[in-house]
Amino acid sequence: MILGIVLAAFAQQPGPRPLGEALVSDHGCVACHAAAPEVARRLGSKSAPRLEGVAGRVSPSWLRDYLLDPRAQQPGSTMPALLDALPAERASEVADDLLHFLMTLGEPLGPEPQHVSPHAFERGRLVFHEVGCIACHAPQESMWALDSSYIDAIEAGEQSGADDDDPLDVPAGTLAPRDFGLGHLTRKTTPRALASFLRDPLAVRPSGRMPSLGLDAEEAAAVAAYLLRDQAGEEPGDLAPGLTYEYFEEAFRDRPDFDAFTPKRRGTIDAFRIDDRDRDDDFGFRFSGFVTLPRDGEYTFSVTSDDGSHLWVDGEHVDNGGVHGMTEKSLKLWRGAGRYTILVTMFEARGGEGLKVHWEGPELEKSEIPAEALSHLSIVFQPPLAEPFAVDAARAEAGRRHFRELGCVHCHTSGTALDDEARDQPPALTALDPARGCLGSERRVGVPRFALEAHELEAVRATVADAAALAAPLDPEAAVERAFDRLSCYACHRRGDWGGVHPERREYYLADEDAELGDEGRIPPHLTAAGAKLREAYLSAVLLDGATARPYMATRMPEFGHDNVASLVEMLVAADPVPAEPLGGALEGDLIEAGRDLAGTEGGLGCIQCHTFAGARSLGVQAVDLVTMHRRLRPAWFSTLLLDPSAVNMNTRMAELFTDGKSPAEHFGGHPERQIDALWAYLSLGSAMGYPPGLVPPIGTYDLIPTARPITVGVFMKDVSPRTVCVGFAERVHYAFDVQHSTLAKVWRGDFINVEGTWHGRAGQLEVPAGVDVLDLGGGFPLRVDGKVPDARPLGRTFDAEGRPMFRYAADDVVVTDSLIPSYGGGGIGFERTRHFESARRVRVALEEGGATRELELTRNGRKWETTLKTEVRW
Amino acid sequence: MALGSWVALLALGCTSTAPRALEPELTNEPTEADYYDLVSYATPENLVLEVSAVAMLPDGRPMLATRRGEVYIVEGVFDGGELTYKLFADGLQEPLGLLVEDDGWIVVGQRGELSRMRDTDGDDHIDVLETICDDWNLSGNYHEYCFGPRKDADGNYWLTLNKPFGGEPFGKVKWRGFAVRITPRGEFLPTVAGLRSPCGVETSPWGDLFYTDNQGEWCGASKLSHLVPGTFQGHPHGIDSCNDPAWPYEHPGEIPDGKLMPVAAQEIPNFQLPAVWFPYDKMGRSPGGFVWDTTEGRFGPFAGQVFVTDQYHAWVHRVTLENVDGHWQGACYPFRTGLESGSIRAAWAPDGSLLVGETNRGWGSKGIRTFGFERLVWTGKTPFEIETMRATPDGFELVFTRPADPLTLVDLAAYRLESYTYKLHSSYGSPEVERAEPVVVAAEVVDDGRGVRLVVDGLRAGYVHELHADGIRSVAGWPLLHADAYYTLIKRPALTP
Repeated sequence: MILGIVLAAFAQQPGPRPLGEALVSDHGCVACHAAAPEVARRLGSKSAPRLEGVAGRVSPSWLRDYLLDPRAQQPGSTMPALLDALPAERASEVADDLLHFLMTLGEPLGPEPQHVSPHAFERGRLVFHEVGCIACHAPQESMWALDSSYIDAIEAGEQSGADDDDPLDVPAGTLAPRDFGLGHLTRKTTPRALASFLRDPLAVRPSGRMPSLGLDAEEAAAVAAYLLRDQAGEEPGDLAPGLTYEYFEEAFRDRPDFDAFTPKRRGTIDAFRIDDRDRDDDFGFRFSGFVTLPRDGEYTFSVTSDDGSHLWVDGEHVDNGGVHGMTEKSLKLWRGAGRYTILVTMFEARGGEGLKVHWEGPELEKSEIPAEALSHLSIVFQPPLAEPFAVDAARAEAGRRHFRELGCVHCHTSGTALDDEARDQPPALTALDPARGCLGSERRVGVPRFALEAHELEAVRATVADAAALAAPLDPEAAVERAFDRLSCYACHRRGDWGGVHPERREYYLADEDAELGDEGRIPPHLTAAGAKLREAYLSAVLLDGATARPYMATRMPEFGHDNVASLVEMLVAADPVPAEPLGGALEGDLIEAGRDLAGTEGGLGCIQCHTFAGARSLGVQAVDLVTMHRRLRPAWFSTLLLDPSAVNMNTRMAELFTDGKSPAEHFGGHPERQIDALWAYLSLGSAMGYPPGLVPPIGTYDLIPTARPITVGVFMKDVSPRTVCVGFAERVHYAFDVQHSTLAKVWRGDFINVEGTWHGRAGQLEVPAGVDVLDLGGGFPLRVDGKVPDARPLGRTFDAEGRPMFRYAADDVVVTDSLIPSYGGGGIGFERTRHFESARRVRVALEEGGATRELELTRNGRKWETTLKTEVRW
Repeated sequence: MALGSWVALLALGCTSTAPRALEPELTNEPTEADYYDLVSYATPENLVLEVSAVAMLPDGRPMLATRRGEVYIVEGVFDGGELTYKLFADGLQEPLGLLVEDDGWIVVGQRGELSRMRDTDGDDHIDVLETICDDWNLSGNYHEYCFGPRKDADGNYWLTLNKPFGGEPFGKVKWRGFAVRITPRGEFLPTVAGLRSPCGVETSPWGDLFYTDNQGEWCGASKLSHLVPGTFQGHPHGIDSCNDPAWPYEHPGEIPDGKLMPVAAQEIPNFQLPAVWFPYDKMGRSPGGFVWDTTEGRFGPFAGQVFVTDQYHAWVHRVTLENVDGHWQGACYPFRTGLESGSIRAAWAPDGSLLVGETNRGWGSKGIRTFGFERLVWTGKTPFEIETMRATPDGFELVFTRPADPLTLVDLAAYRLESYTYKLHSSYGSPEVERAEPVVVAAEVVDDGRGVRLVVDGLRAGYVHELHADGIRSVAGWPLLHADAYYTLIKRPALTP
């Protein structure tokens, strides 16, 4: 059941910011009243929406009303009223003029109904409540009404039994839930315009008060449809041109059970086209709608696809399934003129892809079914305007003048010449008389009137009266507090004495059930001492580049825009002193190997019991991935966490590894600090870390995971040869040996290889390494025998006691045995390469490698000549 | 004609009171399972055992290769207990044949090379892999399989090299669609041209090599065919390689598209007609490996005959061969259906049972699994079957595994014959063309009902003769377990001198 949209009045909430200062910031006072840079920085003033393109976003009738009384039209708006000192008739005229001007900014909205598919609407309900919109906007429905795929939050909360025994017991410092109203949207905009805004709110509202939640096109359209549901007609089920489609990314085979998968995207499309996809392999489409047959008669429908497809017309089925090249299958049926259901599914595994759906019938040559013949059921949204807005040039010109003279230009850009024109400068912030102007009690034409309560007005006046004090630097924690308050970080995160998810909203914070992390999996982490926990570079990555470490959490970390959060990184670092770094041993192989042991479960500390490893599942709960640790965490914090987890978070599920200063693992005599050193050295390799012992490789996938003995696999390798043997090591460093040309072809780190192209279906695809740092060694056979390029041919391979292969090949009559063994050196893991050369006669052997030529001295040993060359492969 | 009938009637007089006690064990209509048990084996959850080759180690343990390039030694197969799979090797490229040598080497065919493997320290894990020969290339197409090796009397290894279908990302290569020999010294000798998809290759007891091919373009019907050096088996894909000096035989020339097989055989130099065609769907769809029954009776009454796996139908069928005027030809018969997955490999276990290796990846098959291996074990009971269908100058002779009721043998309505041939053409598969219905005009009981000689009107050389002997009954009154046989009559025997 859908509840009515909650209209909540804007109210400045008590928070860590002094009320007056918060109001000065949020109303953008410094846009008119100039302030020193340090004041502006401290205030972090809100900037007004950009009006470029506003005509395409906002309905004219709403905009006109808004100009006359902003707060009445948009609860919580901080835009001042500018026309209310005018006589009503004049105010109305000026508003009209302004409207005509604003309607010249961009392509105006049209009155045409907009079609939205029913499933987009349903999806919008979930997305709105799952991704974090409800941190600042009131939930629209109860959690129970939503059929969320995430675990039921309330039960999860009960299980965790942490500090919320009584869900309505509000911890001190928690701010009242934010309720920025959304009820005005129905009159204000259309599904398409709102979707476009939601995809990139910072483009219109650069202040970051409405951050981006990284919605993709489908999610944005879905949320927009949901929020504008009151525009929808009473009767769902109108026909719209084109088809609905769902796009899937799965490793489909033969006849996919689409119902078992969640589409990556849904939408509408004019015809059977598969170009709206993000990759060329392992995807699928399902199209549905109606086909209109123009006259009675016999029709042939056919579907041509690579790989498989299925077509249903009025319930009749064409099976074109299986993995194959472009293959056509058809059916004939006799039907009267009219509209019939049509459903097409297709999937692509590997290689080429394509889909064509043809018809042929009475007076109809065989052709692709044209868009005009296709339709689908949709929900019709009626935009909030009856007819197109006609701009009157004279009024628009008058409006332009008003826009300048009323001072709109101080806050808003319009993308016109007005943005750059010189303008009157109102008094500077420090020069203001708190009893006059916009703070005065008189209403005067041309003076903005802000809708402030009496106590708010008093607070602003007090702040302005002592504006010079705003130049005083804040202590670092206060600076962080103000930024957190301004940007509503506190709606989700606790830091020190402030913030955290309000109990009324907790149920909407959800986690992937699979992670089984209770509240830690669903409630955004507390940020107390975050600057001491996280590396500066990682804080930047989170705030500026959207880095995340908790894939199981449904709520998304928003993007606030570079200018709004760039300084926050410095503030956090300044506020949270970083203790001396206790770790930092040299990256020695032995230390790293000990760390690898310790991360595992075979006599180690068992990190992989709970932490995923490079995406491979842990043995228990699915906590933050091990390969991200070194990149994210400061070593001191890491060390503290391991020694005493409760010291950094009372409610953490992190296990206490050391009791009474003693480790259960035997390494380094059970000495915790030494073991932490080793773990840290190991973690420093990041995605090139070797597999911890005891890791259980995923079953049923085609990712090869060498957890103990090396794995060898023969493949067709792209840009190498169809006879390439890849060798993968548990140390997570790997190589590809080109047997056909007897050369070492590639080395890489991290994941080994995915052999679906070699082990699935008819296979025969060209494979590539799966990992990182792939180094191409190509460049031909490097040996010269007696000064010439020899005839190289493979002789096979032998294996040492650990199952590591040594490739053998002949260069003329020189026999080479070539082995690569993982080894640590400068820069982490690489290989030690040993080549043994043997010849029955005395020959000159040279190696042309790495841009240099090296002569090899073969020495006589009985009846043969031989030498051994050891080199390091480092990259 | 009339004379034959009289002979039959005389024979009838002698045997009409044959004792029913010959088949005391049968109370219900017999089924295949009464005679051949299928023993299935579970595989561990994380093991994808797409069996691509089966061999027996000298110590009696089976060795299995997989399409994923692994080689396993399996323990516990014959003692009914828990199975152990020991990984002997990985990293091979689609190994499709294993050959255990007397000296302890295990020879294996990979996509791009013939190799041999050895465990030198007895830990059941490979210690050395040696390349014997890699003088052919891959274009990088999935279909470039290499089947074999099998060894001839001179010690040469035979391989059959599949042709590519589709993209050739590393460029076109020679010798695809050839059977080749590799000498013990590793020399590469292209030997037979025109193969299509030669999934099975095997050495006959008399030392000649045969192979199976899968119907498709230029291969009108699946077949078992004799690998005679210098011959051309029908598919022109690779015949440009016949211009290479390494091909010491005649070039088959331009291949006409659409001739009847017997006509094509007249026109194309060294064209090899098959030993046995496997009519589509009736006798399988996709033949794989095959074996001659060398169990000397431990696998039942078919000693010396050939058992052929079929992937799509997940079954094993049976072939008998005879040499007529220098050409090996014969008949095929249904044998045992109901395997768990696409059967492509077979090998004899030491106890005379048949180990069958299975995978249906990429092509699909009947059966309930996608891979595995099974064992066919004779129950010790003798089914009532056509043991052999042989050609005679004027018809065919049938021999049964146990005596038939002579009264039914002489009833000419007990037999129905159809004959047809195929086209050699570029389209996929050939319909059965030039159909006719030869007529059995006389039937003469042989050896007290253990056989019958049929005189047939309308025999044609170069044609399949499809026999339905639905009317024949055993002395106990049961029908034949399989009443159908398909004789590929390439040459007609001359009148006995």
